[in-house]
Amino acid sequence: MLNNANYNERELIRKAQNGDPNAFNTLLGAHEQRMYAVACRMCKNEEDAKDCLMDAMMRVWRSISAFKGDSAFSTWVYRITVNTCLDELRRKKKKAETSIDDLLEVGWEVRDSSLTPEESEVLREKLAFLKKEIYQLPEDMHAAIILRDIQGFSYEEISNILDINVGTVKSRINRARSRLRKQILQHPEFFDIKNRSN
Amino acid sequence: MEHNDFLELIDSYIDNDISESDRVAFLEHASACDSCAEELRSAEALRDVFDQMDSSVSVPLDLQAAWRKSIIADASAKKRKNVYRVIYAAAAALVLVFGCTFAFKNAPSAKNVMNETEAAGVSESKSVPLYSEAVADSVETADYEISFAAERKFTVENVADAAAEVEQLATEYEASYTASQIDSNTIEIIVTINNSACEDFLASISRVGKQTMEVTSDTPSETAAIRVTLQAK
Repeated sequence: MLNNANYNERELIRKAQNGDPNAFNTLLGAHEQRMYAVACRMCKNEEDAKDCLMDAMMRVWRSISAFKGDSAFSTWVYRITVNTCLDELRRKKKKAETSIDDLLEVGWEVRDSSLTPEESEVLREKLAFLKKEIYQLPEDMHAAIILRDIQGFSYEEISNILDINVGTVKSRINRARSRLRKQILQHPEFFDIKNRSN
Repeated sequence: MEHNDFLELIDSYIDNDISESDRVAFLEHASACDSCAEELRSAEALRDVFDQMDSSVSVPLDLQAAWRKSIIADASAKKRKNVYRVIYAAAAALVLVFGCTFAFKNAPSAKNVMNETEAAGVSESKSVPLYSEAVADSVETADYEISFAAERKFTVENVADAAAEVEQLATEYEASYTASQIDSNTIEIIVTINNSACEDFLASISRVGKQTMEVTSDTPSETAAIRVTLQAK
């Protein structure tokens, strides 16, 4: 039996490839939130994240006729999104525009939970610390750790998105996590390492 | 388990993608090795912070509208571009057609060339290779049906000689003529002559051979067309 969701997506892709902007908008509407989340976690400020989303959408629109269905549509879309963000990061790196101290808040928030205000505040501070460290990682590790540990993509999905093999993905994540762990170990009290049990 | 093995398995443990036997060995090592235990606690702390992050991000409404609008605008621009391309192509095609038509109109026409060539003394189609072009003193091409004032048919000893004699007589009567070979034994000569000289001309050609057919009709026009058919015996 046909999967209705897949059929609808295929139909929308076909229409979009034929130049139907409304079909395209419907198609990408299902992905815009995740695309924006990636942009917020790759870019350093909200303006850059918004620009990256706009650029990524336009890139997807202008190259949709080249989509052959070799990978999942979502994988292809996120690939374009990540590449757009990396291009922006490289461009901004040259200009050294944004200080590491003024990083974007959006996309780095604590989930609503049953934590007390104090606990939430502590968590926010830990997140802010890790955010700074992540932004100082080399861009290949930065992208890999965002996609894996924050966006929740599988290693195979990341392999397709970044167009690298799974072994390379695992290697990049291993090195990124190792660096972040080193930073955490330099602030054991802040992360309450001593009191944790295995 | 060695220290290096532990570090190799730490990601698999955090990802919960570890076999049960490896997991047991991994945890056993952590309980016995302080530095590895610390490494594991820092890995878990990192994982816990990420797990408590709000993974979803709301897209601002203005941004939602902005990218959709830009796609629609780009699609419209593309459509307009295609329409202009079609218009330009059609205009170019029209210019080409008119240009060629104009060029052909002003070029010397085949008919004009034919008429000039014929005036220079070349016979029309179906002309007979039996006699030379110098002998054939021809006239206008008959491209319309001629109404003959008279028709004569003769059987002759020699078709070429008889044709030459008819053409000579036509010249003497200041007539124009055109000859064509019907088949290997038959030549047809159309003579256009002044009506007043028609009767005398017909009388003079009677000597070229044995007359086998005679048709004469009154013609009100100034000139008369006479068809003379010469057939070998």
